[in-house]
Amino acid sequence: MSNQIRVQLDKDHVNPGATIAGKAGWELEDSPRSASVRLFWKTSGKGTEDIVIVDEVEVPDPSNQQLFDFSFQLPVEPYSFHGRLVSVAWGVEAVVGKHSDVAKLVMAPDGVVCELSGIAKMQSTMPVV
Amino acid sequence: MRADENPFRSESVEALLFREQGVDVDALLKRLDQQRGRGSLVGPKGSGKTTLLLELADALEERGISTRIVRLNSEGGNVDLALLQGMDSQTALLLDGAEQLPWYIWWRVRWLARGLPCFITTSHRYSHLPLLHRHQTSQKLLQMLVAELYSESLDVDLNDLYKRHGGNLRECLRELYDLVGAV
Repeated sequence: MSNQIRVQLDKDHVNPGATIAGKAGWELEDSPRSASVRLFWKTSGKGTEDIVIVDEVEVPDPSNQQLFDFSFQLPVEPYSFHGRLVSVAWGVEAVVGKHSDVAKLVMAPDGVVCELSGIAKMQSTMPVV
Repeated sequence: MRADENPFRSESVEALLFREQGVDVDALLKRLDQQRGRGSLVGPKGSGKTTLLLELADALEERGISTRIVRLNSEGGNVDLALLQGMDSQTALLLDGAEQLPWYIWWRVRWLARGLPCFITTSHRYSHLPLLHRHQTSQKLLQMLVAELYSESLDVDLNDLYKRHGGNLRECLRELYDLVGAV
């Protein structure tokens, strides 16, 4: 049997402060010593990568084959955004023993990721009043 | 270009700096055992010493050894000696930027660390601890890193870039981040 792990979210584009739910499932050759599901955001870009774990739920007595339901209440910031120097991305990661999987998530108003370069372009073309 | 799509973003650079230098963490841990838990990572700025130190911290934690990482920045810095005096004798101390310390503080830190199971430093120069790994940079290594990260052609003289940054690969790759990101 090969080791398989998967995280699925019921929604992957949500508003700040919303609640997300999902399932983490795995089939492993051996029973893991620990398993947990984490809600996190991380930066990506020119500077040092920052990863912030916002919430984490431990799976009690994990077995080698399991389906685990979870839910998280999201905070209201930071929004998912893409800039030229830095981007912020949200995700949910299941870590089961040495195995892991990540489901990406967009958290921003109306579930639409903010494009900062687009805002900069828009501002540069706006008439000066 | 979006930051998370830039081929020279830090997460890609850090992973590659580590891999391209052929570092084997398990082999380093064996060497560390042979050196009674003492070792220094020596090399120029921007050559991946801190990245390797953090990898070693993770590996020690996986072995069940708790770690304390003290990072001194390039503007200087100091070590809270009271903090070290109160350290659990089962905890490993990892000191990043040992060359920042005045010699008398450095010797004090060494004295305080004598009972710890593990004491690893990063430094630009020899630090009186047994060498664990020497980081080296070269123009050839920069060319390899760039080729790995970016498949398109770059209108940049990499040898000149390397010289301008004094062999600091991280700074070279940051300049390329700006260049590619501006497109």
